[in-house]
Amino acid sequence: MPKLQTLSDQELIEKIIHQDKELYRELVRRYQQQLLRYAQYLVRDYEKAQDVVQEAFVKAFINLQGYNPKLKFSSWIFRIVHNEAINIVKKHQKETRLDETNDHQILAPVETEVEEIVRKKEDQQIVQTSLAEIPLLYREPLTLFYLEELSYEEISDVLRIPIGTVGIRIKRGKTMMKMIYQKITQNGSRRTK
Amino acid sequence: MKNKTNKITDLSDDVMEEIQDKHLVMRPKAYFVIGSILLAIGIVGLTVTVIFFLNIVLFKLHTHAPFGYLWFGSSGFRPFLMSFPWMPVFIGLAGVFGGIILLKKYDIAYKHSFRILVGGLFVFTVVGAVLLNLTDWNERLERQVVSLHSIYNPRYFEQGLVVGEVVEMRDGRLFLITPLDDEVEVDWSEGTVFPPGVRLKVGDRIQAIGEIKDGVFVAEGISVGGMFWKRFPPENDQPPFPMNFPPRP
Repeated sequence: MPKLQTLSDQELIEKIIHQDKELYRELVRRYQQQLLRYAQYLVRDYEKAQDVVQEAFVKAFINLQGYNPKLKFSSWIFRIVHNEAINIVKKHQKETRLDETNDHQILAPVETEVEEIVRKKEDQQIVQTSLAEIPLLYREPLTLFYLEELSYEEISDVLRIPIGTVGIRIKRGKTMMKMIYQKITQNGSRRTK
Repeated sequence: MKNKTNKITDLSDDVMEEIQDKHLVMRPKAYFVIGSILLAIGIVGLTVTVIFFLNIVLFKLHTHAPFGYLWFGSSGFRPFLMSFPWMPVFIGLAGVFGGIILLKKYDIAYKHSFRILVGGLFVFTVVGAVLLNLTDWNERLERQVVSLHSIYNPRYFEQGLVVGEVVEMRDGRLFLITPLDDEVEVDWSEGTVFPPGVRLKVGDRIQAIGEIKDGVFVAEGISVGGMFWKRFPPENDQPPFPMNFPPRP
């Protein structure tokens, strides 16, 4: 019997459905860390993120035979986590929004690109703070693209929005993140070593 | 990934434990297949419903010309409200919204421009309704299915408004045949409002507001034209005219 780790997601799902449901454990282990990270960026609380991901995996198990093999399993399970997280967010969280009067500043030149910010390890805390400040509408695609390294097509499948909309939201999210990052670094009061 | 306490989280035991403790089972494949079929039936059914009721809206607009009653001023407002196809419009709109909600369940809804998809479906239903309206399907249905009279053409002349074709003009009165082949005798007086410069003749299709008195519809206002419906030849060999209107003493 081939090692479970060598099986593709589709092959593993076939075995779970037709042979041994205990093999679902392997599927959970494959994606739990990635999903926990994603959920935590959405709900901004680690314990809630754990609940979200656990609930998502349970629902995925119940609906496993409804999974469409044309879609990547990662996109499908991310979608379920997204739905669970949105429910939590709507219940518990308020989002901060940028003042619309600051929109003209979006056009102002900036010194540092978002990609450079993400790469700098010493800025990781600022990145996470900046990301948390962005409205969920833009935080999600940014997280999926830069941190989970999903493609536009995969993000489109997760969020069920057109690929063009994915690009627009990432672009706007980047702009917002630049502004917040600039504010934080200019204030200099939120850096941590 | 590590959480704040630097422990690596493994949820697999918790997940499997919850599945076993709650005796959770996978939904069968048939559940999803039936769901897809029902979704397709729902969309097709709603599309057909919207086409049918949109067709009725068009039918009533050209049969009763409800906006024509507004020409009578404030007197025509009530006939307008009565003859406008409110229910088919509401049902049609509800069907459109329902169809949009169901359409969003499909992957195609987000993989392609949803506006184009909805626009295409809207054009399809409008074209379908127009084509259906061009046939005599409505006229046949309203004659054969009595229960649909309330949707198609209620006997409005009992409620103060009438639409019909002039088949005879005699003794200062008009004799009309309504779209449902009802015979209505219409009287008018010097106070009856007519469109300026109009001379009524046999074959004109008119709408009138007024009231029934002693079996005769006394018109407060008469307008001409703007209405269309299909007439059916009589099933027997008898000519349609003269009708059963007795001559005035």
